[in-house]
Amino acid sequence: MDRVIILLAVVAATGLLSAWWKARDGRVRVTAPALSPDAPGPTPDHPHQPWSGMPVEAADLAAAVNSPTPLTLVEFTAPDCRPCVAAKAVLTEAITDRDDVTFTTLDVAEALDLARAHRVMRAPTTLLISDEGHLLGRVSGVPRPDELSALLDATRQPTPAVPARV
Amino acid sequence: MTSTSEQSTPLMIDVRGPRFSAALTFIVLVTAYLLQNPIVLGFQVVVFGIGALAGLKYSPYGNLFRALKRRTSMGPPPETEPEVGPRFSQLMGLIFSGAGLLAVLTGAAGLGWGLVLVVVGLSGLLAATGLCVGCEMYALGQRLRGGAA
Repeated sequence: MDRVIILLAVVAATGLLSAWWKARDGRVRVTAPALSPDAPGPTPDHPHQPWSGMPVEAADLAAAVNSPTPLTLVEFTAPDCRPCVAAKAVLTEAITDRDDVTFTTLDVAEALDLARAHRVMRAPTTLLISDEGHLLGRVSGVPRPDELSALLDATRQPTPAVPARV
Repeated sequence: MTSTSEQSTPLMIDVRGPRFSAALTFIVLVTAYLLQNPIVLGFQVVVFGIGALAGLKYSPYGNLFRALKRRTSMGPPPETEPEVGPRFSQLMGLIFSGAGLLAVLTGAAGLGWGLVLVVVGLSGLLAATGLCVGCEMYALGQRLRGGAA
């Protein structure tokens, strides 16, 4: 009878593990500062973007991807990784209307130091970074589309390329 | 691109196959555990060994799945995936259940069946939810192996 109880305990523990995993999988963590309508405009200290004052955590990534746009979604992938393909589809779809965001992939095996530096424990893991190396968002697994849109909306420039106000 | 590229086109398999196999694995290992029967456990170790070492093309449960597919109207695969991830998870199963069998045979029954229960949990998880922990570990392993290369 003990065996049956132990077995049931194992099954229950596995169920909990699965619930925990599903609760985390694809969650988008937003680290970008929230843009409010009365957000202060560009200042000499923070000349361009609302996140200019944030600590620069991903300068190495920004240098590695050398993006042509202010924002970049960097997806860490692995060979033969099935969810990576699904993540790629979600990410490219999410930025179709954004000309200030590019999407790029990095193979964890090839960009090993970057993967380690940013504690990438799973493929796919996607980071949203600015070209100055600010880390604005992070998600492991296939991103939940609604949360990804929320992140991208949070980083949408209300008036891009406006000359600095005095 | 990597130093470990084996073939450019890995064998693609029906994603339902690994879940079906995991369900059988779960049933066989639960039986082995409840009966405390090393022979049933040994059978599953051999099944893992064939899938991991020879390839999923030769996996006994995989072949059973394909035979079942031919006899029923299961329809085409909803999705396919490269065999490497699931094959790696078979290797993990082989290591854990093989070590478990060894422990059971050498008298450390508690340790042995404990290892078997790990595989019971993970195969049950894959069968029930499609979440393949071994496959996730494969992606992580790629990262570590890349470091050594």
